[in-house]
Amino acid sequence: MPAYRPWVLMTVPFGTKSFMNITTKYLMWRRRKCTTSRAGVESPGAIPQKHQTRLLCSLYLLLSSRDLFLGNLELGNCLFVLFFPVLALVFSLPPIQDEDCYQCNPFQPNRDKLIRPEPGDDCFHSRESCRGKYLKSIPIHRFESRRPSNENLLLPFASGVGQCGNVLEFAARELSVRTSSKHFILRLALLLLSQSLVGLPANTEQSFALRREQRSVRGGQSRAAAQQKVEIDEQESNVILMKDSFEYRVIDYGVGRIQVRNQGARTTIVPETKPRSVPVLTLPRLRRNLVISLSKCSGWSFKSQTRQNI
Amino acid sequence: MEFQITNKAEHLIGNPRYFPIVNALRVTDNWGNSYSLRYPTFTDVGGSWHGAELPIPGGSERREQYKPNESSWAVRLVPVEQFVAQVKELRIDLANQFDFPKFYFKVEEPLSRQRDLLRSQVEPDPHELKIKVVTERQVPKH
Repeated sequence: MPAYRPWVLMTVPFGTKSFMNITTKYLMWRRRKCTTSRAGVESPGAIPQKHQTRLLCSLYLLLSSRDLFLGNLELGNCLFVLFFPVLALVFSLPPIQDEDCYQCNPFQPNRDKLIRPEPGDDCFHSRESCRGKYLKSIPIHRFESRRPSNENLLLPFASGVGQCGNVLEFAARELSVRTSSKHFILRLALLLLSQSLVGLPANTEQSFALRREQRSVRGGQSRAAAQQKVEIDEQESNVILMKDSFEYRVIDYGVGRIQVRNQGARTTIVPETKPRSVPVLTLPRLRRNLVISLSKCSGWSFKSQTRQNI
Repeated sequence: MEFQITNKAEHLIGNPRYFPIVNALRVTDNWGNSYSLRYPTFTDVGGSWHGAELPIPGGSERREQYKPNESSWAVRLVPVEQFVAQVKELRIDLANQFDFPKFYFKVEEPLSRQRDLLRSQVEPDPHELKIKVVTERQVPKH
């Protein structure tokens, strides 16, 4: 048995003529499909691309079975030949990615691989469902966590489509190349990453102002929330009884002098009635800037001549 | 400023949690400036011993435990020259208040009262003092 090459085996079931016919028809249909897609108008008889592979496999099986029953194919080659359409059919069963979501690329509405600086109106205004899909397909959010504190970089998910359009417009101007949509997204992501890392100034006046505004808004909200939660009650008193069963009282205050005593004097318990007990005195060594004066209650005091305290 | 600390428990020995022994009390004026109401030191009377504290007559507030109905008095001061002009109100916070309700003293016109804090002088009438006790409570959300 001669050793057949795979492409030879592929042509065996239906002959060279049938294979050429199918290939020619497929290429013509494919060219027509591309033409209609560029024009942006779908022809009524156009077959969706996800069904193309399955249709070809079915046609291949049909022709193979015809040649098999007509005796044009030996049984030994039949099983090997049938392997290809079955394999193709199996690989065609998984769902093919629907390209409808890319048909309304706002920067490439006509799919002519020419990136436009502004999104197409026909996509944003006529197809509302496509806008969400397109925005979700932009991988900008992957760089948001790495983004330094740069307020000039406005991400589309933070502020909506308008700012997204500004960023994309800037990116498209920077790119200004003819590229596919996937490459555009990749380059856009790389561009935004590079701009966020080194390109845009982080400490501009505008960014500071924006930060201050955001902080003031946040601080105002938190203060407002805190003020709503706290209730303040005032009463004429100088005593606070706390949860530790201790009473804290302000006895007196004022601007003037204070009295001191000798360190190490005995601890006294302050009675509720006056006069208070006074510790025993031991005169220490004096400093020049202090004046000693005996107080009426047989204590002694340092009286500062220059300083006053409250 | 002169304080009195009293254990109001009937049978329990305790220590005051809201009055610091070492650290200072926090004082805030009506402009939002903060001061430290601290223990008097030698530097307050012109001395050069930084950190050395002046002994206060009857100052027993540094004790660790108070028997029931036992009290002490404490003197804390802020040098007058530290205040800004036109201080109209001082807020004196007790220490270690981390949850609501929070209490603090509010003193009105603190610099207008010219008075020495001597050991022998008679305690003033509380109505003479322009002091209020302010309570901050947390209102549950509706």
